[in-house]
Amino acid sequence: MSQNPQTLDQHYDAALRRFRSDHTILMDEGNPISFQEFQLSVRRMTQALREAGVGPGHLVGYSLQNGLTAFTLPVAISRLGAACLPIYPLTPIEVRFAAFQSGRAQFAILPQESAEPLGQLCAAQASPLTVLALEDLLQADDAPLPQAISRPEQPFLLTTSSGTTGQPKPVFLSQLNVASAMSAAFDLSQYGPWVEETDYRAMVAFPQSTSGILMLLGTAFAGVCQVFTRSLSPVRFLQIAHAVEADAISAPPAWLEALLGIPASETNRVPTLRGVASGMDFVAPSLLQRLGDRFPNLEAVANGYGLVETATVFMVWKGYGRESFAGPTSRLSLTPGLGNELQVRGEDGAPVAVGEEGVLWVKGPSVIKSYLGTSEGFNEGWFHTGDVARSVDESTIELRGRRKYLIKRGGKSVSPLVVREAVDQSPGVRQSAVVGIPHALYGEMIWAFVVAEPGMACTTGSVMKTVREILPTHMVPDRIEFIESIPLGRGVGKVDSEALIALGTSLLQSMEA
Amino acid sequence: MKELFSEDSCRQQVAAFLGIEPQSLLASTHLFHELSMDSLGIFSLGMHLIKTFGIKIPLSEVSNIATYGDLYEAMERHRKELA
Repeated sequence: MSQNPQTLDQHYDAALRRFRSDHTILMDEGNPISFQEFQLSVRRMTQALREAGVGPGHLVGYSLQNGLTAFTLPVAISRLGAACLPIYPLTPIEVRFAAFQSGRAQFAILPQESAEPLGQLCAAQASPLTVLALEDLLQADDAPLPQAISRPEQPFLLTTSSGTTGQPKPVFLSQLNVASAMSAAFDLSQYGPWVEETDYRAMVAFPQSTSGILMLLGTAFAGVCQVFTRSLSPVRFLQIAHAVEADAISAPPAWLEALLGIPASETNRVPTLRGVASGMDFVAPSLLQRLGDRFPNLEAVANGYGLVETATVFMVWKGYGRESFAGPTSRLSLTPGLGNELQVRGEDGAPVAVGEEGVLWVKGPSVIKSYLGTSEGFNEGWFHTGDVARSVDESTIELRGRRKYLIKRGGKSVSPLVVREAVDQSPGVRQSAVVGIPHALYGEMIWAFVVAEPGMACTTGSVMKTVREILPTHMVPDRIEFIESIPLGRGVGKVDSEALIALGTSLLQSMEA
Repeated sequence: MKELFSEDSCRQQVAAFLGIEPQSLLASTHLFHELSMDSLGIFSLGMHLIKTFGIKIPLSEVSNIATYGDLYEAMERHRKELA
């Protein structure tokens, strides 16, 4: 009986059995990394960590630039039964120190230039944190890899949820959560007829985000060559995709928008591109259609959905063929074979009938057991995602949006995603975002912020004409506000709804003054 | 820069907000029954016109508006008061 891997080690051991040593597992910018090099890096790291005293139950903080070691280090930490605390490398050293301290990490690994100031901070504050320089670890002897000892329920990756209640919370993903996410990431990458090809190359953006790490390892261990960049430059990303003849790219919608903003040239056309996988945010059909215009050989698209609490991706939508680019991208199904379950529950806590709306609850190997220090949001293994969904069948939903961003207008709840979907269908709309603006009379007004396609006639009239044909009256935006660009949050570049709410509130005050 | 208020510009702006052709907007056109507006939608239309023309209609008057003709008359009355 075949069973999904239950730990990162089992994924890696399967890769050890599957790949030849000359298999190209990753590409660092344009440079191929063979599986042999990857294995050597894992062995050296494991040996160095063992010599430094890392063992079962330890928490190892690290902060590394994109590069081979950023992906072999978690494998080495796992092999010793320890857990990871990755911190984004551009964070100020004092903030990283505070994160390592509050996570109670015993070890911290950084490049030499950052390890020294971190060591000084530790000395000044009498911190028991052991600081290790990456360069020293790489000098370790090559030694055989020890047997895996991690158990599925063991904590492995300490990260932070942006919080379904708006309050960030620390989250420990278990080995089983991580292993499930890696399987789901691989499934997400299987959305075209090329899945059996051995030299399939996919560009990955944000490889050091939690989902990026899991996506990269999950797909790389399953045979997809993952290509990453060292800097977060959309221009460079496209140039490298072109140079390595990438078959696919995976990136959040905001990143895809950024790619579309770059004029096509002989060095960035990426004529080989056949697939785009996205996630982390709402994927507008108009975005897919514009991607199709920009990349003529694009034939398949996929959208993953997940939260930190579900170890990132656990539901997917896949479309093959140009006609599928019209969506529905928000119709998502559980990744098959993982054993996760979903329920769409009404206000009374009972599952709603098929076709009805409610709040999405999930349970299974991808889902964490609880937050650190609180069981809020969990009930008998079920996690309350806070996302509003329409039930389609036992494994499929239509996602309506985050509950905290649902607009309460005149006593009715309105999904900004549904409104946005309608706005995006209007001719000349390049991008849009819909938020609720507080108002004493309405509760909240529906405001649509629109970025118009340059040179195209896009007016309040043209947008209203389209949305009134699609939406019921109570969902029609109360105001169409044209802006130059949609503000994006830090990190993976989701739409910054809070910034739009602040902007709308300020404009409303000036209108009512 | 506010747009100059006139019968034509008022019709254009209201039609744009409603997503309909200006010529289909008659003085007798009922905003609720024929154009499926809700009461909050009328307020939103009012705000659009305030922003466009700089003419304010008190909320108490907005609640009495039922047809396009009512709306135009209210706008015209307050424009004269401003002048």
